[in-house]
Amino acid sequence: MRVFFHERWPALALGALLLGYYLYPLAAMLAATSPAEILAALGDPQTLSALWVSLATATVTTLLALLLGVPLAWWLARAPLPGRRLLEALILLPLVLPPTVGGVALLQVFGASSSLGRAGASLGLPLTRSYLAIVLAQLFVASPLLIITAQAAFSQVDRRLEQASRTLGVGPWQTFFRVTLPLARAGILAGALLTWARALGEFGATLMMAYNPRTMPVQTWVDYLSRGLSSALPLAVIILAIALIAVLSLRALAGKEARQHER
Amino acid sequence: MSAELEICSLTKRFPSFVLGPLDLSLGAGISVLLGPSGAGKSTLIQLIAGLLASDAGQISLGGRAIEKLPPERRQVGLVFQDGALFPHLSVRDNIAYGARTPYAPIVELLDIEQLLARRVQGLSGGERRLVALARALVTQPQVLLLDEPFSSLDTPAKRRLAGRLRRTLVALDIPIIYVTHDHEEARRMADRLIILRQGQVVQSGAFPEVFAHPATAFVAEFVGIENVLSGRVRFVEAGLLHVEVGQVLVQIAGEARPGQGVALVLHPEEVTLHLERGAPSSARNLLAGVIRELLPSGRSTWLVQLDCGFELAAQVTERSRQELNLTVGKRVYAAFKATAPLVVPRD
Repeated sequence: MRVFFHERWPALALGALLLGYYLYPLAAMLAATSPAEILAALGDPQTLSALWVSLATATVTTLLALLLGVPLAWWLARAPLPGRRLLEALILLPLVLPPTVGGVALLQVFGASSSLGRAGASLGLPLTRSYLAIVLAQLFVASPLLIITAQAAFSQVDRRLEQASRTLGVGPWQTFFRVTLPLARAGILAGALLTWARALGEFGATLMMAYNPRTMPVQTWVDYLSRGLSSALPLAVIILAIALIAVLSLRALAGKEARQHER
Repeated sequence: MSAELEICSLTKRFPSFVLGPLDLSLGAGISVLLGPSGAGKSTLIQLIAGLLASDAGQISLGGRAIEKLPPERRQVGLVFQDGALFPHLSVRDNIAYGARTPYAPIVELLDIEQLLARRVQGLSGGERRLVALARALVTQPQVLLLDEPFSSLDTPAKRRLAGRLRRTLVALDIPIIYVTHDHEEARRMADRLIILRQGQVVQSGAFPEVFAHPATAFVAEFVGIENVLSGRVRFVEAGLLHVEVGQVLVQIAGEARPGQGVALVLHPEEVTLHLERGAPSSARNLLAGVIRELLPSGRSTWLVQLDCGFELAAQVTERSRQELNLTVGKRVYAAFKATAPLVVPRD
């Protein structure tokens, strides 16, 4: 059925309000920051350190989430229903909890006075105020995104293709690596990108687990508190640029996945 | 000498359906598994391929028990309904996927060299089937299962494929199970017919044999015999059954008790048409009727659908149609001998 423009414009008008609401503050932020200020910020060792900490921890978090999350996502996509629903709810929990609540829970387990925290410290692996602490916080908050996205990707893989592979003499492991994984790859990468972006932006749980070393969001917050809004702007713009690249890559991947599944 | 496929008491239970216990012994050649949707055809195929676990029974291939083996170790090839080609691989990589033998001879045999470099997304339905067949054949299966390989193909595509497919399959010299619900396809492909209904084999044998002597009304209808008349034996006199079909009594040679419900299987070429009652004849049954429909059934034959108190089809030649001036609405007499119909259980 053809939908005429005049039938759609109320939807567009309401949506435009919301889109404007997204764009206006970001544009205002950009307008208030000069390229010179951004360059100056990038020359500041504190900013550079925060940028490095953020990029490094988000990447390690994503790799860990891939390693542990992809098998779980595959299992969920193939699991019988009763157990699956319960696990799916459990996986959503860190996503819907306020990150500070995640932080409280994590500190309870990994904090300096906890037994795990003490054990880590005695082995020279402090579980708070360290890179590892940041990764722990990010993994808790961001990895569900990978599981959910990868599960959806695995569910889209036609099971008959896996069956066909088996009847062609190829065992279950090889079938996974030669059929299932390649067909779900675009979706898994999209999940990894979402996880990476979410880990990069993680603030609440990270702040509680590791005030130092400082990630970009924590540094932005510290700059704002100590020196005012204008000094937080350059960092905010840098984070915005990274997020924009991540989002655009995600759209490109989604397009690729759609082409993969067309018959 | 190819390996035989032996199936013994094979059973699979679902909440609302039970397949088996089935016993089958298949040698080289095409066994067509014919049956309506829900008869258990696909279930049987999946049990043999190892994609479903059976609840009881044995499957052996050349004396080797395979029912406990995972699918990849059974050496059972399966061609899925729409091919189930891997969308992320080229045609060449699809065919080479599980190859145990160089694929070139099989590709040549099926005449699909020109497809090798293509993406599977661009293939027609018929091409997909051929690629899927090649992909299965290069694994050197000891049994080949084809699950409705022609479903959703148009008639010209089926025709083009059928000959090539049959020649290729026969040359394989292994047991082949070919699943379909289309009796025309079965007639074209089968060395042997296995008719499945509600999880049970109701009849098996060569197609002409089953067509000539269907075991039940269901089989007769399913292999495409036009006249399967449901009736009840009123009485038996002078060795002839007097069977009430619709409101009409017909005389049939056969075995049945009075009161018994039976089905009469009558090939339409056994029914002759007359314009008048005419002289006495050896045909015991002469029924007045009206022509309801005339359908071309071949290049020079017609199927005449009559209403004689029940529906009856007669086959006539083009010449008879012209000479008798047969048209819809015309009143005619249909005759058949008492020995013409086959009396089978009604199921």
